[in-house]
Amino acid sequence: MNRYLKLVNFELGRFMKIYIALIGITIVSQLAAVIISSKSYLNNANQAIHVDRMTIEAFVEQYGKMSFNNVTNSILFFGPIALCVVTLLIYTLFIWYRDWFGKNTFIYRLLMLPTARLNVYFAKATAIFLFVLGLIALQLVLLPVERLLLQKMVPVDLRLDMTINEMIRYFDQIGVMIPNSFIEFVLHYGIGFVAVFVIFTIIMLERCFRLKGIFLGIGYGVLAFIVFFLPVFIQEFILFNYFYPAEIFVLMILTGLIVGTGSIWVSNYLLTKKIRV
Amino acid sequence: MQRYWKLISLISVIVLVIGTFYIQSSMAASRLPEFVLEKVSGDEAEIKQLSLEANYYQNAELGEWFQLNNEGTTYWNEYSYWDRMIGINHNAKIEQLRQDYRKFMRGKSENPYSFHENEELLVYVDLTWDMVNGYQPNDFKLDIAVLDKVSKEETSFQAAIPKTNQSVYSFDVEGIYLKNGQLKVITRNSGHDSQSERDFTNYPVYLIDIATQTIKTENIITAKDAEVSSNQFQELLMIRNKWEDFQQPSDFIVFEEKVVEERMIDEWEITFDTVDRELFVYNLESEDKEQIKLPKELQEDASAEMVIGTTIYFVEKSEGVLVITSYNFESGEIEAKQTIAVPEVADEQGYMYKINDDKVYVVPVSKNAKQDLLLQIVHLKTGDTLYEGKVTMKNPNKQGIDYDLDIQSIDLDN
Repeated sequence: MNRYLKLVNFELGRFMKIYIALIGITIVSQLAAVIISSKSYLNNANQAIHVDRMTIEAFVEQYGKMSFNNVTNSILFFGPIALCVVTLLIYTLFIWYRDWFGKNTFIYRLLMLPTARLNVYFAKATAIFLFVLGLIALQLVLLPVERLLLQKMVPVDLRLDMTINEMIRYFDQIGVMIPNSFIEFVLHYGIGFVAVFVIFTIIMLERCFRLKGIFLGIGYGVLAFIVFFLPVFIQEFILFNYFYPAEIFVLMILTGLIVGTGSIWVSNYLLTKKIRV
Repeated sequence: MQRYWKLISLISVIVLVIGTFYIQSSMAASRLPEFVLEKVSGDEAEIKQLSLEANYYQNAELGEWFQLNNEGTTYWNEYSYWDRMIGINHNAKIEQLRQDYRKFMRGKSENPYSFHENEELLVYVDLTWDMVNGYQPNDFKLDIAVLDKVSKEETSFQAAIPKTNQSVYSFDVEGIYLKNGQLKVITRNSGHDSQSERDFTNYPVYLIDIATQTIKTENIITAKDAEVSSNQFQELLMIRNKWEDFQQPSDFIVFEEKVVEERMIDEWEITFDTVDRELFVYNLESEDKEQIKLPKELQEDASAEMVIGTTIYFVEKSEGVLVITSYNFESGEIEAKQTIAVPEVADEQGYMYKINDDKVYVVPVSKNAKQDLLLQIVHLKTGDTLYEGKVTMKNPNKQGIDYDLDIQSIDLDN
């Protein structure tokens, strides 16, 4: 346990600089998105009210009130989210390959540590997971701050206030990442965790068998996908409407667990018996 | 300990922020106002099975969906994840059937119109769906399943619909009839007739022989051959419960045959006027088709919206009043005529109504903080107001706020 925690902490440290940069970019860019969209809306309003002699009511009727939707539609708002997603996806691969392609093959030292090799594997998966959740937490802290900023800039007659829940629900891209209830949160990130294990297993296959391993890895990925969605495939293509919703749910939890444990088991085997440095 | 500061700080931020967010959002729903149905007069028992679906808006465009029944308000967020996943809005009848006949109901569609049950049998009829080819014109098959409720014996088979000379493109099951061991299915077929070069819609009645697993055509109900001018067209409609509740035809099905005239008001607008209308009834037991002679006062605007037994319910809507006439086509008499006054509502949005079992449920579709939303239940034969109630806000500390309510539907679990 102690070894595992040490490894997690170590993995966090190795990515910290880029991670802090991502956090910085997100904060700056999203705050800029709020300021720019508010300013451009207010400019429109000024133009319409003072130059074109429109009443405030007529302006609101024609253009709608300023709401947080105007902000989330801006590239400066969802751009950094996309950047974080892409960076973490790439790092999910790079977290392994950096150990092979460094100046001195660092993986050699990692694998020689006097602890189960699976700890290295779990530590890397945990690190990825914590990075993702950390960014989600950042977004949850940023939303109320951004709302406050918007309220400071746009007068009350021209804006439509939303609760944090509404802001999330009406912005689909973060809706998936921050679902409605905590159970859904656990389910979504449970699936995410399993997906990380599957990707890691594909990497392990490639590292063990190199070129042949790429094909084995793709095959494994396809297999994992099919197994996980098997209840849905059966429902849609073979036994139409056979399962009730609750049954599909339980079956998919089961197939998810199968894919997760299967991936860990395969990876463990490869790490202990087949890995090449 | 100090060596782990990155790990510890990241985990504490995550737990703290995400934890706070979900605790707060679980309490957010309870901050929304609680609405109740407050009785003005009548019997509370009338609303036992009733629920209203509505949206609550507080100076915002984004509404909060809730369900209101005699026990109070439940917002969407207050339902458990499990409830939301399984579906709060599943048809109550389908839910009941799924509970009672868990095995039989597997692999069946969720459309209540596909089922019919009596004391002995539960019957399922639905159009089959070919995964590979989709629907092919003139080539339709029915999925038929019959469950003997006593012996629990299940028969299921597929049978082809008899082909005709006409090209049928669309095919819908409209009703299932079951009596004296006879199973009949009424469908709505539309397509193109190559001889007359006209599109058509007709309603065939098919007789399903369970023993031999075949389908025979009993009768095809069509509009009569009428000469219509170029700006007119014919329409044939089966009058059935427009509220999509679970109700299969009894011995009679009523059809409405209309000649509709298209009239240009100006370049942009066209209106459709019904210039001629006839009603006729098809007796599923005796296979007779008979015209219904409507009394004078029902000739004009009253639209036939529902048939229960031998009574047709005609509805006339005008500002502030809803007039419902019950006409018995067997005796040829108007049984009752009820005029229900609907209190003036916000923004002239009007009202919503639903007929069920000799009763009509009427409710305005919207209200704001200053208005009352009056729910009325009126018996269509006697004209008695069975229940009258107001939708009011319960929490006193919210009562100063400005808000709007939109009613989306009236649901009855029967």
